[in-house]
Amino acid sequence: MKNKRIEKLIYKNLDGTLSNKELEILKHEWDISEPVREEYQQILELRDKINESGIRKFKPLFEERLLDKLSSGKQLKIVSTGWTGSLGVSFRQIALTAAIILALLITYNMKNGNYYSIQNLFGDSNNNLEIAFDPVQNLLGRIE
Amino acid sequence: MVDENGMYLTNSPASEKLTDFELLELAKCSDRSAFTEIVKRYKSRIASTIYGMLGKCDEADDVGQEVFIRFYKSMENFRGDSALGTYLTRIAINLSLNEISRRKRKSIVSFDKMMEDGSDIQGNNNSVKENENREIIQLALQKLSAKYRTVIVLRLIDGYSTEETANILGIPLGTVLSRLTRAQIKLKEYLQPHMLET
Repeated sequence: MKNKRIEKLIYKNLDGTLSNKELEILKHEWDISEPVREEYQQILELRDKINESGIRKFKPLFEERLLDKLSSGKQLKIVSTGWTGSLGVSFRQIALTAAIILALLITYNMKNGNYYSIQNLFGDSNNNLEIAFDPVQNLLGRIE
Repeated sequence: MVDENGMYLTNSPASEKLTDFELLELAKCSDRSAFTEIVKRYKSRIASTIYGMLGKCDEADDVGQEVFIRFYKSMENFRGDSALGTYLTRIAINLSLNEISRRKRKSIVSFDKMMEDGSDIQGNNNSVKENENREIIQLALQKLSAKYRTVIVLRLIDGYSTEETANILGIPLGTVLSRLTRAQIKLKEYLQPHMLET
């Protein structure tokens, strides 16, 4: 519609309350202008069609499915796929904690080690079980 | 008789005659039939809200279920400040908006493409069937941004007054009115080539 002001008044009249002045303007336009009356009619038709377009039914057995979910405690989580899912979040937290512990451990070992090697980083020595439990070796270690 | 979750399995035929408030009080005491009656009473209204917001899609039914699950969980906190229908509609709008944000992140559907497809269908048939009209309107609604779509759904599909719409959305009445006007102008632009001449 060319006259945007009148168009807005039509909408306002349908959804809200016009002031006396606005009502007067709209009434005047309505009386003299055929396009305004047509516009009004079109808007009413459009609103009816929008109203009729509403889908008012869910899939069958809506209540039964709902009660099943509530009874089984299997409540739907709409956003529960991929990394944002609860399982993903739990794993992420565990992985993050493990990474932090590992980083602290490596730092500690690097600080205390005499030289840099992969084994040293992870606090691994060349000791086998026999050496580890050998009292002489242990004694030497303490003396050092 | 009580089931494993402590819900009373009474099958009271009188529940249909009870008021929302009475049903709510019974539902709070784990009366299953009272809760079912509430769902029956409001499911079509909630369906129109959700389908209006999301369009015809599989997720709509899931969101509908989630609305009543949320309500079930928060029933104790419902003080009756607003009508039960308004309260449920507010949950439905919030969950629909969440779903819309999720879609935006995932870019599931190109609505422009759908609109084009819709116009193709219509172009092939001279007589426009009612369900085709409905589909075209649904697609046009999806083209509106969420804030405009919300007011159209509440006011024109659900039939709430502008005051109720403002109350549900928690925005001023003037904002609802201006959004309604802009939304209808946009819808008319989208739909004019498809529908109004028929």
